Amino acid sequence: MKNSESNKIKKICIVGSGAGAGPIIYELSLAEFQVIVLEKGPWLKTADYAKDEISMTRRDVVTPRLIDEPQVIETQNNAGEWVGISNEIEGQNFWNGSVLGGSSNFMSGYFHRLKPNDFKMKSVYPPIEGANIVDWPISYDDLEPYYDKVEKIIGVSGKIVPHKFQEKRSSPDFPYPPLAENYVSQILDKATQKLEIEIIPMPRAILSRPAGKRNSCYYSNFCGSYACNSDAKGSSRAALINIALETGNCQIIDQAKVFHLETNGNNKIIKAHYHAKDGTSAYIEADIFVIAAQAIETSRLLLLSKNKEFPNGLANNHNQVGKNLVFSAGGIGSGIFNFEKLSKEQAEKINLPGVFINRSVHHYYEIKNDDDQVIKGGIFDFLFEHANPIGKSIRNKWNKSGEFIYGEEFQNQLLHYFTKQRKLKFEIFIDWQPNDNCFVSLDPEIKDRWGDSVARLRLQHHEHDVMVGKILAQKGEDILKEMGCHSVRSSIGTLPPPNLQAGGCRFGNDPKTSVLDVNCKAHDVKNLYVSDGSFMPTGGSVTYTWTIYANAFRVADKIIEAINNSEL
Amino acid sequence: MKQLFSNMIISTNRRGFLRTLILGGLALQLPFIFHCKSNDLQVITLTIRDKIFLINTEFLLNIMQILLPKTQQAPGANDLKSDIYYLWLLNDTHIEESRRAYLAEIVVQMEAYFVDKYKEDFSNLTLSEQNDAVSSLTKTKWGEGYLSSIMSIIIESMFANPIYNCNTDKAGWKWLNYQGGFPEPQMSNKYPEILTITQSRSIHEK
Repeated sequence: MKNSESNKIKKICIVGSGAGAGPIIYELSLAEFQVIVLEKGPWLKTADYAKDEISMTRRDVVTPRLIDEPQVIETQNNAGEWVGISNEIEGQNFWNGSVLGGSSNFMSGYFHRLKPNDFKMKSVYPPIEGANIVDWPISYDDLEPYYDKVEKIIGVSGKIVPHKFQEKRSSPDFPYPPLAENYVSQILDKATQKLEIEIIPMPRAILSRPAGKRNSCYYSNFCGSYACNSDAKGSSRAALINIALETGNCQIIDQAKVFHLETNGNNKIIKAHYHAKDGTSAYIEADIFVIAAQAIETSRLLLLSKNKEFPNGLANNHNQVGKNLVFSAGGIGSGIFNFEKLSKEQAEKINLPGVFINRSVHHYYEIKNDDDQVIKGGIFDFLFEHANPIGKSIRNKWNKSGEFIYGEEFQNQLLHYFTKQRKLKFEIFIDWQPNDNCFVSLDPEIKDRWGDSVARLRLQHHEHDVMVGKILAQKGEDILKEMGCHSVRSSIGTLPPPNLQAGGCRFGNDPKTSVLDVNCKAHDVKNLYVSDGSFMPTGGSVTYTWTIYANAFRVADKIIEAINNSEL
Repeated sequence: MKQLFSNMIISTNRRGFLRTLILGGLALQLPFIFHCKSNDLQVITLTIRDKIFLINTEFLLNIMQILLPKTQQAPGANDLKSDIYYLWLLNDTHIEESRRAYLAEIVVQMEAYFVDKYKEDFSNLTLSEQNDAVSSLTKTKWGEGYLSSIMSIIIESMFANPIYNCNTDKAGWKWLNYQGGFPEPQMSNKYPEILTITQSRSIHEK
C-alpha cells in the first residue's frame, strides 16, 4: 500500500457507512487518504446498544419514522395500472439501519459466497422469459481473493466440508473455528444423512475467538436485529470503521443526510450537499465520491442529483439508474419440537438458548425443471425462531382455528409455547429475477421531512422464483419431518425482503445497459463510485453481505490503483 | 385536575399521587409515567391531532385484566402495569400520531359502546357481566380488532425490560421461564433516551 504525502492531498467523500462503505473507509484510511464519511444516522457505539426489544425492534430508533422519511410502494390494481401508496400507510418498510455501520450492525451474519455460475447466469442456464439476466463483467476468480480477505478482516467462522457445490478457495479453511452449536445440529445432520442430502456447517461473520480489540461471541441469544455487544459480529463499524478511525485519516459526520451531488459541468462531482443535524444545509468538497447508501437510497440520491449536465439524474444518461432492482427471493418454513415427546435431557438440550444451529443446505443450488433442464435453485439455512418474545407472543393471540383468544386460554397457549416446545425454522434463498417492473424512481409528489422527493418502488416478483421456491420448500419440509418435528409448514413469499436489496446501478461494459463500469465507477461521471449492492446485475441465491463486502474491498483497490495511475 | 404536559391532563383523588404528578411535571413528558402506579390514575384528557380524548383509565385496566387476568401462576395486567405502559405509549410523541390517536380512540369507543349497550358504567357491572360483555365484543370484527390491539400492548408490557416501568420484578419473564438478553437497557440508553444519545456526547468523546 502506498503511504505517500501525495495520498493526503486526495480527499474521498463516502456516503453511507454500511457493508458497501466500510471496506472503502478502511482501505483508504489505511492508505492515508483523507476520508470523510457522511452517515445519515447517528453514531451509536457498542456501549450504546442493549438487548432491548423495545428500542431495537418495537420503535423507530435505528430506522427513521416513516412519517418523516416515507417511501412510496407501487402495486398493480385490477385494471393493470400501477398505483403508488406511501409506506406510512401501506406498511412495508425498506429502511434497515440508519446508524453508523448501517444494517451490518443488525445482520445475523449468515455468510455465503456466490458460486462461479452466479457470475454467468445468462451463459449457463436456460433463458427465463421476462427476466433481464446478464452475465457479470467479472468472474468468480476475480472476486475470490476478496472473499478471502473478508474472511480474515471481517472475520468469518466455520468449517469447510467438501460438497457438490463447494466453490474454489484460496485458503483451505476459515480463519476462525465454528461457533458453539445446539444439539439440534446433530439431529439435523442425522436426518439429512438419512435423506442423502448434503448439509454443511454455515459460515458466520461472527468471531469465535477474540481478534484485535474485538471479543469473541458470548452467545447472547439476541443476535440478528441487534447490535453486538462484544463486537464479535463483523459489522462495518466494529470490524472496519473503528480501525479506520485509529489512523487519524477518517472523519465521521453523522446525522448528515446527503441530498444532492453537485457537478462542475465537466462530468465531475465537486460537492456533496447534506442536511446537517442542526437543521442547516452543508456540503463537503472532495476529489472522489463513493456512494453506498444501500441500493434503494443510492439510486434515489443519483436521481435527486439531476442538473443541467445530467437532466435525468447523475450517471443516468441512458436511463439505467434504479432499474433492475433485485432482492433475495425465497420463503420460510418451520416445524415444532414438542418437549413432551422427548426425554427431559433432550428437551433441555434443545431448549438451550444462545448457541446456534449453523447448518445450511446447498444441495439444491441447481435443480431440474419440468423439461429436465438444469436450472438455478438455491439454498436454505436452518435457525431457531428468534428469541424476541413480543413478536411471537403477539402471534399467539389467535388459536389454531384463527380465533382471537384472551384470558386463561391465551395464557395457557402462551405458557405451552414458551415452555413445552421450540420452533425450528429454515429460510430459503433463491434468485430474484431482475425484471422491467422492479425498479426505483422518484415519487413526483411525496417529500421527506427535508422536502426532498422520496423513492418510489415498483416491486414485481417473477413467477419463476415462486416455482423454484416451492421446490426447495418441499425439500426443507422433508428434512424437518425426518427430524421429528410436527406442525411442519412453509410458505414462499412474493413480497421482497426489505433487508436483502441490491441492483439499481448495474455494473457492466456497455454504458447503454449499465450505470457502472467493471470497477464500479460511473460510466458518465469521472469521480463517482458506487460500492454497495447496487452494482449487482443478479443477486445469486444467497444473502448478499459477503459479496458486498468483497466487492467493496475490490473497488477500494481499484480506486487506489486509479489514483496511483493519475486517473482520478 | 392538573395540566401535566402540553397534551395531557390527569385527574386524581390521591394526595400522594399529586405529589408524584407535580414532581413528574418538572421533568420531560415521558419520565413522568415511570413514576406512576396502576390504580393511581382515573381520567386522562389527552390531545392528539387536535382531538381531545377522555381516557377512563379504570375502564382500560378493567378491560386489560379481563384480557390478561391474574391467575395462580400467571401475572395479570395489573401486576405488569400494562395500563401505565399504555398511557406512556399514548403520550409518546415519537410514535406516529395516527397510531396514538387510534389507541386512544379504541378505549373511548369501547367504553361508550358498553355504556350504550348496558346503560351502566362498565365498572358497575359484575365481573361475570364484564366477561360476557368482552366476550360478545370479540364476536364483532371491530371489537375483536380493538381488543387485539390492546392485547398487543399488554404483551409488550409483559416482556419489556422493567426499566420501562412495567413487567414488575420481571414477572412476565419469570412466568414463562424466559431469559432476557444482556446487557439490559439502562436509563441512559433505553428508549427514548437512545434517540438523543449522540447529541449528549461531547465532540471529544467522538
